[in-house]
Amino acid sequence: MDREDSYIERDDTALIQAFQADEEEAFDKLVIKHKNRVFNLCYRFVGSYEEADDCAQETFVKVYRSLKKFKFKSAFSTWLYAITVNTCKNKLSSLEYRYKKKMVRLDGPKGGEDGVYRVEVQDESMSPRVEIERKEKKGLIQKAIDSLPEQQKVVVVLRDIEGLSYEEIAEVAGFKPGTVKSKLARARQQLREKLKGLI
Amino acid sequence: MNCNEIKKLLSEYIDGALEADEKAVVEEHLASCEKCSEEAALLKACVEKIGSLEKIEAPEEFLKKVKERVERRSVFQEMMRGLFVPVRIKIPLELAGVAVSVVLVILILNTTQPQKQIASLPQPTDSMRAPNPTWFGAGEGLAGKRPEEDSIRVASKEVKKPPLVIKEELLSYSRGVLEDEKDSRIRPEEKPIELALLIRPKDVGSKGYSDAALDSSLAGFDYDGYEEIAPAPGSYLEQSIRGDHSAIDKADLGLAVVDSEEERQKEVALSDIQKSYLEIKKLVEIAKGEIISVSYNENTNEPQAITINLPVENSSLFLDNLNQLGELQSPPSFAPAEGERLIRLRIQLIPAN
Repeated sequence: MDREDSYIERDDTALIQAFQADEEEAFDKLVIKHKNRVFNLCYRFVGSYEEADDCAQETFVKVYRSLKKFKFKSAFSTWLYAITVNTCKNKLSSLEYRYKKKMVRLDGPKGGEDGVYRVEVQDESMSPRVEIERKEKKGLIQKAIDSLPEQQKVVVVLRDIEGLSYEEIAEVAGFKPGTVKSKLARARQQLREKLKGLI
Repeated sequence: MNCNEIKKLLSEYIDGALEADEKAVVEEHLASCEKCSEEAALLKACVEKIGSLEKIEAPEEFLKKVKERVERRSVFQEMMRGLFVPVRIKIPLELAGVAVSVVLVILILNTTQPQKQIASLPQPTDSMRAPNPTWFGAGEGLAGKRPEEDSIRVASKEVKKPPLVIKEELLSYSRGVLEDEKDSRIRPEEKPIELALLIRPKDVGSKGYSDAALDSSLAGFDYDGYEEIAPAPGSYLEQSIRGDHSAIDKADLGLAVVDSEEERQKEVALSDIQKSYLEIKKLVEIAKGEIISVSYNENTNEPQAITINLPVENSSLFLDNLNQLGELQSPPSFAPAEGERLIRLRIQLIPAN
């Protein structure tokens, strides 16, 4: 953590203490201060702007409900990342189910009896892939990240996007530092294979 | 180190997280291995690409949405808190256990109560199941002294007494039903019909009633088995009908039993009440009834009231004959209930003067 981060943490501590003293505005300042970082992390995890918005809001609601009991045993940012990652994991599991179930017809509601050939395909209008390709040219990178196993995705996002140290990742994700290193190495190796044509 | 071992360290090498000795080994290998060197470059470029992804910012009204969601949760939690108010009174575990045990005991007792009631019902006795062998007698004390006891008992067996409604009574008990109207039909003895007989004065020393009166009363009854065992001359029944009060009757009246002719002359002077009692007793026997109890006047030691059971079919004729003994005062109507086989009468003997 550099000097600026230390300053932010000291500021976070003051805001948390103020909130614990029933100063509601302190929570507003915490939200304003961390909303973009949380939102970006959510987006990289779930790959959808709307779902990221929902995840980020839910993350801060959880923070609001738990902040009065925060004991400062860890950095607030670490605690905030941990809540964000868990919220996104829950969202991904529910989204995965919804995407599998959500199918559309290409030829209208009727079919089968009149001999018209019908094909059912997965509706990807709300999938992370479509969102990514629409919002940024480097959608393939997000697509590659989405394809990673969940734990590898967590590690690579926290390290290569958010810039957390191995130790911080281990604390947020609940892994041992050695596990973080090995998972990160495997994740990067897979991404390099997937992004071979892009690089 | 070979290439595979070097590849495993490339991720940490890019991050600058390797120890100095490991870093030196990797750099030495990369300098001599073109393939691993290319791999390290590609991996570094990939990591830089990932890190170069643009930062997605939260929408402008993000804080407002968060606060709205927090507010909704708070309202919902308040509602839930209102629905499920926590119990703030601490109840000791022992007290709770005792309370639960008491409730269980009460439930069990209530469940088994009907069975206990049925089990505690009076068991049917012989007198309930079959006609009393001494149906015609005035009491157990008299039975052993009657010379014609056997023949009378034979007669009582042959007389087909209507079966008492004991069976229905037991069924009612088993059903746990004891309604008042059924009660009166089943157990008439519990509610005797009160009668008062104003005794007509009789001549002192006389037999107190005419043979003709008794003969006529006998003629009015349905004899059933009596016809087959018509009282033999000199028998107990014949003597009773004729008014020849034997020692048995006297004992029943509370008088000393005397055998000598002299003493018999002395005690022969019976009161009108005593004579009427004996007459009523005979009428009860003839009507196939039964004397249940006799109450005596404490001062005069004379019968004061007689409680009897009568078959319903003989009750009207019995009352007609009873009316000949004196002035009978009875309720305006005491018709037996439907299905009633026996009626209970309590006749109060009232002297004329």
